[in-house]
Amino acid sequence: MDKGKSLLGRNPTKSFLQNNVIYIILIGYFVIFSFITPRFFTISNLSNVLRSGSVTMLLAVGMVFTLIAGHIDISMGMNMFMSATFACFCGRMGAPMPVMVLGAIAVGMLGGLLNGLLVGFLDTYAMLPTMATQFLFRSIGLTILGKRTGIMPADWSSISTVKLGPFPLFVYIAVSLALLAQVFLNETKTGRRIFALGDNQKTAIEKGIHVFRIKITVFVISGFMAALAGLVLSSQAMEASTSIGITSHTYAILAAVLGGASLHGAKGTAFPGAFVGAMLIALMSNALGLTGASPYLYQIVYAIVILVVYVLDTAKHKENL
Amino acid sequence: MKKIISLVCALSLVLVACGGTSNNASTAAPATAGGSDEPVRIGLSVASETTNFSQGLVVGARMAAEKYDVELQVVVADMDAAKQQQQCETLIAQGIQGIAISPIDADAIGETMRKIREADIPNVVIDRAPNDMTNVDAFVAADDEQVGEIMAQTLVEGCEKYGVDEIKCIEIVGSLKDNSAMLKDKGIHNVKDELGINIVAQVNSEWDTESCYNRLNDAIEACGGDFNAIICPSDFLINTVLSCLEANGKKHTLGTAGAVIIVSGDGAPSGVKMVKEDYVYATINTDAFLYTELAIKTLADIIRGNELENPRILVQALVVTKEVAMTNEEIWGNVFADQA
Repeated sequence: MDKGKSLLGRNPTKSFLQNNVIYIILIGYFVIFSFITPRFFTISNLSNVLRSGSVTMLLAVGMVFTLIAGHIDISMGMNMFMSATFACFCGRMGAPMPVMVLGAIAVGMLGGLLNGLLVGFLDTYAMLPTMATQFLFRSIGLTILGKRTGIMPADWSSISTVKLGPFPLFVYIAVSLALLAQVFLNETKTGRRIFALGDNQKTAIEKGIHVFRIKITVFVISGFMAALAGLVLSSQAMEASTSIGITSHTYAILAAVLGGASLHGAKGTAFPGAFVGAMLIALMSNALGLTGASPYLYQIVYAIVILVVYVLDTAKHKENL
Repeated sequence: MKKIISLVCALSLVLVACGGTSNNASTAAPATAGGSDEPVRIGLSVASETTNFSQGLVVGARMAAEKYDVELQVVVADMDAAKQQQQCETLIAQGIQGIAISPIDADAIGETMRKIREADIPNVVIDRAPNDMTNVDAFVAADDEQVGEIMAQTLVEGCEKYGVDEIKCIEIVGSLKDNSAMLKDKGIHNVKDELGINIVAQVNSEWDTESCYNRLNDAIEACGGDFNAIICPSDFLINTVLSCLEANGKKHTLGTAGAVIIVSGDGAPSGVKMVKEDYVYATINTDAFLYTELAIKTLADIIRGNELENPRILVQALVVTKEVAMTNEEIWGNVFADQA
């Protein structure tokens, strides 16, 4: 018996816990903090959680695509920063908002395309190429800012402030995109080929799958999601700030893996996986904030959750071998 | 074929990276007129070129370099503490005679200061005190504790002016590991009880706009929206704070119903603009030009053998209310007004 099996075994209860740990933690959070603070389980606070979780969710959806394909996109945070700076640049030039939005999305997708080309041509695991491009994207972003602050035009805030019912409009858009991404993964040939690539590239090639094209697709989608996250974040901060994106990829990976994606490929969902993972991260921060917990606790809680997820993921992977 | 493509990709990445690095260092030619001594070579390490404060530092340093006959080399760390350390090591290797540093991280800069001391190069630290001050020759900064007290006093003035009787304030803290930010926080807490300020929530921004936005949202929820004042540690965060207030339906100009009285810090263009537009009551100006002017002058004096009178050099604070913002063209918030 290997270590993974000895750790969690194969009995149905353990298997259920292992597969649904995120939902159990999420429900536990709701129950515990609803008792601790009456402000936790309210519409306005749920709106807060959705608002702050949506940026991570957008990134996590993109990350899920690369993880399923057996890769990773370390450059997502900096692609987000680069896209936001391009929107800022368009704003400075007097471009209307739709042009700023489309320009930023185009830049994000180009960043993704570059990642896809590098990973495809080099035929290598994406960690190092995307680590390299994260420096490139930051450099390009800073060059676009051109020794000026990245203050956004006044009407840019509408992206994050326009509401539909109790929640901001962009939250509906972000959740819809996660759903759409899941339909794409489940119901299209390309979606199934992404899983096949993540499962075993050699077998995928033998089955006639054009893996180069699939790699390009997943990284372009990842770039697209990074750009959208950049639009929302720069609207919330009203600045394409140099602090944007520095640690974002970490939270995106965490959210994706919390939601069931595997660092070993061929597993994961955009919805509910990435959605629930991102919301759990937002909830952790929100609950600590509402209870007035020491700010030092935030990092400790994140560290514990990351380690728990890593142990569970590794155990699950070993069990499946 | 794949190997060739790999090589080309790798080379182009290296070239782009080298291009980025070289763009981050610039040298100002020495002014020979006016100085009786030979020009001295001083390096300035700044955190970024995309914040108002850093831009003010660089401009102030260039003006001081001309004034004090200094050959100035500026390096920009792009908010990367490791890069700042490498750049300082390069300056040491280049035989620079003095180094002025605006640290990104109060902890990480300690090792750099140790290396500078080992190389026997005079140094001046600007604005953010390293947590270990052992190897620092001189430190130029505002009295941050006093600035915190002034912020609290100015908030009370603003509340009195706009008829707020019971002050319920959300305090935003820069970062718990930033000595300068913690001193401001200490200053606020020194006087808050005496001034009748009730801090209903505290937000640790970690000097990050995303954290600031999300945690301010949480703080507003935590106090049930029952607050009427905000102390923001830096104008760097002021647009984020106003965006968050807008999302919560609380962004109003001063004097209108429900307006939140805000006092910010730095006197940066973004803050001064919001003061002029009546969204912020005041920003406490600590002129960025002055920091580097004093730092460069001090270093030039040390290198030329003059005795350092006081290793703690203070930059005076000025309260910028709307009246001051509209009339004083000298403050850096107005000099860099096009950046806001």
